[in-house]
Amino acid sequence: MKLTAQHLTKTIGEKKVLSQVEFSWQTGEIVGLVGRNGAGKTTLMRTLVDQYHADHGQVAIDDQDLTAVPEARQQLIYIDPTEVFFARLTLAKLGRLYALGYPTFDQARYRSLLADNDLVLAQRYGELSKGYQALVVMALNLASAVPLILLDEPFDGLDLFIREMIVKAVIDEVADGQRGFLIASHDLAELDGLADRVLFLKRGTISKTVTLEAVRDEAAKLQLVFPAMQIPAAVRQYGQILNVQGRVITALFSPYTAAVEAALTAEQPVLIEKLPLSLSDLFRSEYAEEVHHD
Amino acid sequence: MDDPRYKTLAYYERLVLQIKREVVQGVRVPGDKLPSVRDMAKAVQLNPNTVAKAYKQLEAQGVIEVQPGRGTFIGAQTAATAEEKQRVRPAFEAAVVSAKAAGVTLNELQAWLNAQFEEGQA
Repeated sequence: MKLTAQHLTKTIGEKKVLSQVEFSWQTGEIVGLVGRNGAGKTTLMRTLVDQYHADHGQVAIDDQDLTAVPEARQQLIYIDPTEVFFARLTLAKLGRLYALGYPTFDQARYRSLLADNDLVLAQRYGELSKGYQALVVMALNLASAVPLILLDEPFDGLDLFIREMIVKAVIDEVADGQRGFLIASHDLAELDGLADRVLFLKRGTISKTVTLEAVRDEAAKLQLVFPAMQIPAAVRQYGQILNVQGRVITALFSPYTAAVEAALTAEQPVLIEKLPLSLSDLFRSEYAEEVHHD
Repeated sequence: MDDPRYKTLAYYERLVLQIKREVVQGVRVPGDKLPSVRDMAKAVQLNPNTVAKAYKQLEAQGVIEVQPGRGTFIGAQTAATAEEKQRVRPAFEAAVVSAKAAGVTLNELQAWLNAQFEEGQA
């Protein structure tokens, strides 16, 4: 099953929050969604499920336009963690409520997921700690048995063990290819090994899509020191400078080919060393220009 | 997965190296069953597609064997095929060239090579 967003545009008040967003995402895939604060990640998720009506563009699941075929939206779930309407409800009532919206909802699974985490059906959602609320949201997502699951900041403010539980649940669900996850997160370290692809949202549009393992294969982050104080042209030509500390240059070369290596070696570097390349480095290189230095 | 020497590699390559290393060290022996892709992915907290890619490469290189319906097992450690030897040679040659360019002497290289070989057999 595949979700396709095309030309999605959304203006809220005076501000164009989304502008011509295009991407696709399918079951069996974990796709990360990153961007700076206010880049439009939550707006995109709300627009995908039609909680916000898009001004332009369309969202389709397997070629069924969600506006023309609203029931196709039952293949897609988004529980907005910041705007839950159900804080006063008990967990039992919550399960019955989601079963109304999702005919595939599995009550037995919901109860067993809650029981695994020592959650009691009589408890009210709003009375739980942040970590347990996150686990309830995950239990609702999983029990709904929906193929396409949107997670908005699922790791935010959670301790190591609860984060691990959520990561393992995502891996478990996606492993047989029947489910897919779109995960908006500021936790780049958590997304790094988890996501197949990462969408970079910048000024309301997808500015870059990165297939992480392919980038790790092709690209290199290097620490370089050259005899001359000036940064050789080859560095700027083939790479993107991430940091300069005195003579030590850290730069990202994507792709890092034999030709690039030869061009750098020709400048007779005093030091040329590969450093681990993380999603944080790609994030830094994508958004560096937006950061204003005083 | 945490070996600092592998940190500049893609995650699937790190997993490949880690499993090879465990085989060399005798942590995993021929006939041992490997976890399923799903269980390995959960254990190392990696995307299942990444783990599947690592398993595929290990299978292609004869390190592991997939027995349909039974699972994935560490393969019998026969002597490396000529083909497999040819495959690793360019990487070795490239490393020697880099080492020479950096002024590493033959004696130093030999010491490194010995240390690296012994690591697996301890």
